[in-house]
Amino acid sequence: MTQYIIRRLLLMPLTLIGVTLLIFGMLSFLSPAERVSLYVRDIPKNDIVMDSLIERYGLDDPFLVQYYHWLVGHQDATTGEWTGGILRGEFGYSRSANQNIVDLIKRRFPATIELALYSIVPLIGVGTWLGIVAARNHDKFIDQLARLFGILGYSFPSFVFGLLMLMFFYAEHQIFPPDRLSNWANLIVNSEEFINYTSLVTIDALLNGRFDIFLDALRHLVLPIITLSYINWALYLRIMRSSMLEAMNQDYIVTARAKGVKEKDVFNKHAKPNAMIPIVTMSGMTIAGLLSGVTITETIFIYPGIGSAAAAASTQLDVVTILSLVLLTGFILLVANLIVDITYAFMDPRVRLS
Amino acid sequence: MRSKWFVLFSALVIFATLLAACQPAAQEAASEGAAVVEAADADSFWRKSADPTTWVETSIGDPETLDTSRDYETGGGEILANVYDTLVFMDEDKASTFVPMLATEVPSLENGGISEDGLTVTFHIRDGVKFHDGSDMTVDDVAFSFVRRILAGSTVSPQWMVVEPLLGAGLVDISEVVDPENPPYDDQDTLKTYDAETLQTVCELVESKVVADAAAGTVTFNLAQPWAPFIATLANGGWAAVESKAWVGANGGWDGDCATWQNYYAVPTEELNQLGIGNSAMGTGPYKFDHWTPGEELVLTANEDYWMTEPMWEGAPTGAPAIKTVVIKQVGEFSTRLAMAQAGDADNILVGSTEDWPILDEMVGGEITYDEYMAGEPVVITDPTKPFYKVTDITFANNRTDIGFNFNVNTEGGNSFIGSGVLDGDGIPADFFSDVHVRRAFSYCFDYDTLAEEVMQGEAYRAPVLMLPGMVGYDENAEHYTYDIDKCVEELQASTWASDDGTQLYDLGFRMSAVYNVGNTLRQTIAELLQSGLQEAGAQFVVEVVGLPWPTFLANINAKKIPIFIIGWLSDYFDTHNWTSTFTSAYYSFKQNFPDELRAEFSEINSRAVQEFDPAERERIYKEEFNTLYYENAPAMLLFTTKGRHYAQPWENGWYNNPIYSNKWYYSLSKD
Repeated sequence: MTQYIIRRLLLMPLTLIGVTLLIFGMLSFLSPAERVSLYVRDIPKNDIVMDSLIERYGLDDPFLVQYYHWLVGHQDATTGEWTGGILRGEFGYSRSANQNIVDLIKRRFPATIELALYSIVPLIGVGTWLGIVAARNHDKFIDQLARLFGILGYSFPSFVFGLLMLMFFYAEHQIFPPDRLSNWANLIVNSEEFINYTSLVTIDALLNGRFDIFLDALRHLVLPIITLSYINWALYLRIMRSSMLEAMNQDYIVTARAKGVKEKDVFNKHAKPNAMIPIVTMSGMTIAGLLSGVTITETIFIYPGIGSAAAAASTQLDVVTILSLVLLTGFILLVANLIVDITYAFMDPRVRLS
Repeated sequence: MRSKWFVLFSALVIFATLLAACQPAAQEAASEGAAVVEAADADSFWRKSADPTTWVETSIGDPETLDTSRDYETGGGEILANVYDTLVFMDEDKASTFVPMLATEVPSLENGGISEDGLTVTFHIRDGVKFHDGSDMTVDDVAFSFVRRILAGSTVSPQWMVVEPLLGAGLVDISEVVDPENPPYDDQDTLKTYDAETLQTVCELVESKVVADAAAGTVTFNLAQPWAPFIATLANGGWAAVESKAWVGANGGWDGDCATWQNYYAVPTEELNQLGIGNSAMGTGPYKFDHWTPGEELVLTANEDYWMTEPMWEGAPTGAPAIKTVVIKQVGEFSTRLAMAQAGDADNILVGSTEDWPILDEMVGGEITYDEYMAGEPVVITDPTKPFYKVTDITFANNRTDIGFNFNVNTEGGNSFIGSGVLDGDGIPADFFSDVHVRRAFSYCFDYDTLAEEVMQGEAYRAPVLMLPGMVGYDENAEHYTYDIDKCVEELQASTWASDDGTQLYDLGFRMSAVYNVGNTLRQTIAELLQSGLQEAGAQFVVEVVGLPWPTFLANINAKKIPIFIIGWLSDYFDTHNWTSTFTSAYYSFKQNFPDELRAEFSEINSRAVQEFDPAERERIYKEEFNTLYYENAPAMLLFTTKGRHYAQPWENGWYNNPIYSNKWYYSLSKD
């Protein structure tokens, strides 16, 4: 097991480099004149501008030279001094976010983590529970209702559902606002009197003794959580329901029943643990997805996470930012995958990692 | 079967419930047709703000930088306009009338501020003005501000507007003064290789152009040639802001030493934004910079010690700003911005385009025209249950969209926008639009009225001439092209173009592309109207409407490959020269590949006009010479300016429309 984990960890940087090389290669299909659009907001008023920008940022350098500069950095011809290069820990400047990429990640990633943390239980827990309830009441009214609920959730594009939530709960009734904090709370959080211990606003609010800010932050999390949860519940419901129904038809269940085990125990102790295996796999990917940022939800609710930053970088062809965020999400996915595989081995003794 | 019906029915019920729940309450109570309501009911419309001292502005444009030498876009321009003051300012909503700000009077020929030969402009600087850090503003700070920005250079900066009048018409960057033959544009490394004496001389030359006299309390600009729009240029923008020499030097900017200016030339924006001069601001203006979280928000706080004791115009504010905190939030999605306005959390209603108007009109409970609004007339309330009111018929604008012809497209590496590339009925030659009859034909084949009625919802006014209403030379009675298929056909028949076998253009026809950037529906519709107009003239005239993603569109525009393209211009300062020069002597004349002789003809007129200080003579030059030449040559199809609308919250006070502002000057605003 340990060897397996070490091997997977050692392969991680190579995989990440491979992913970035692929993305860099794809973006290189765009001409320098197209990629320079990142630096100009409208048709430039001066004819020299675009050529000058292409030269300054080396957009017409050969593909491998550009990739090398991103990976290793530039060496000044006269001073011999190196600048940039992710291997030297310099991720560069995000033109689309107007700040250093490290600062961007430092600021946005905690917001995404916070949203993910609060979303995990309602998203996975409720979805799975609905699946169990539906399976237990197979073909009964509750099953039909749960399935209907699931189908509706699955059919709703997240931006439509999010906007409906926003219009109803915010524009009409001012109950759950968008953004991460209200203005009054934001001004306090950005002031010197408020200490940022973790950059997770809810936790920092409690650590600063500001329960009002804690509640305000929770209010702002409600709509993104509902949106993320509702559109994912259908998936968990369907997987858990079918997995449970399949488990309930297995020979070991028939055996348990024949031995006189109570139906409740058959369901909870024999069927449910076995039916949970696909949920574990899905949960790993869901959590990885949440941590990588949820673009549409973050955009609609102006939630300043990593997803909205990635969306801005993509639409503006901000190659440097895209690559850094890909590295981050790739890393999260690889770690999540590894954790899922290890968990799998623990849950199903038949699985051996070698 | 029964369960299927149950599922279907339940789905419909839930969907209908959700839709009904999301229907705005105001809409439910809406009455068809706007009827004026009783005064008592109307009073209920004027709701109060939950926080009258904080203004929350939703925005879609984060500043690119806050360095006054570099910023050249409205997101940053708005911040600079509120944190810094300029020597003169615009008189309320009148963009071409000026009032003194940091200067004690507006220089003119009459008061001696402008010399008889028009080559020196002297400003008397106000005493007792303090920067936000408590230091005194001096005449040295004023002169330094302009010198630093000119030397900071960069072709992506707005410095060309100051460089041209001070260092010579046609110049855009200080690097052209260092090496006129081979300017090191935006290249600091190359600039540093020039000998120290040359660089010192250039710095001293710039210093000699803006001279402070502490004893007299004046700053004098020594112009390279008379420049009629000079005062207009200094009335707005980061390029005209007065900053503190000490603060700039302490925050990563040039400190005024002529031996080192090259180290601060054309610094990339990303490096500027790591410095205090790029990520913060400190001026003498009504607002202090508080903090900027890029992509999220920028916050300004009131300068409680603001120096303004006398109103700049009747009814203008004095003393500390009424709005104590301004929060500018980045909200890209229109629906979210609208929800924030509906909830009362945003004090503005920012539309994405005129396509959003019908959505907002459903939420409008009161209406007034701009002229009535400025005259102090009351808003006519038609439905007090609705959240917003609107100000209509704002005719004073600073931008327009037109159609430009490329006189000679670039065919290097192939060009898919001109079909076969020859006149064979399946393409056009590269210099197709060099024939004035073709340009005129296109101008006659465009249905201007449909564009105004259907796309601009009837709220647009036609551009008879290149300059905007309110500018010198504007003439609403000038001869202009109208939709006339017969004349279009006549011009096509008059064209000198013919195929190799002698078949004339009208009989042969053509195929070409009209290009727009995807997502810009106005540009798309304009291209489609041109397509349909030419089809009306004859089925042989095929215009293919091609949408390109913004990067590809930009690349092709830059490569001059697009034969006919939709062009837009936003005034930098409110003066005719900013339009006439841009379109016919400078920027667009090159993008459109004007023949040298045509550019020379326009340039001669532009040069005379911009140096003419007699308003009547300047007006005559533009009206009689420029407008006539432009009409006869039809280098572009002049379309429409959309009338503006302003949707407002009921608690908003003090707003007015100045088209040159980068959004709002918050000092004039207050809330109930």
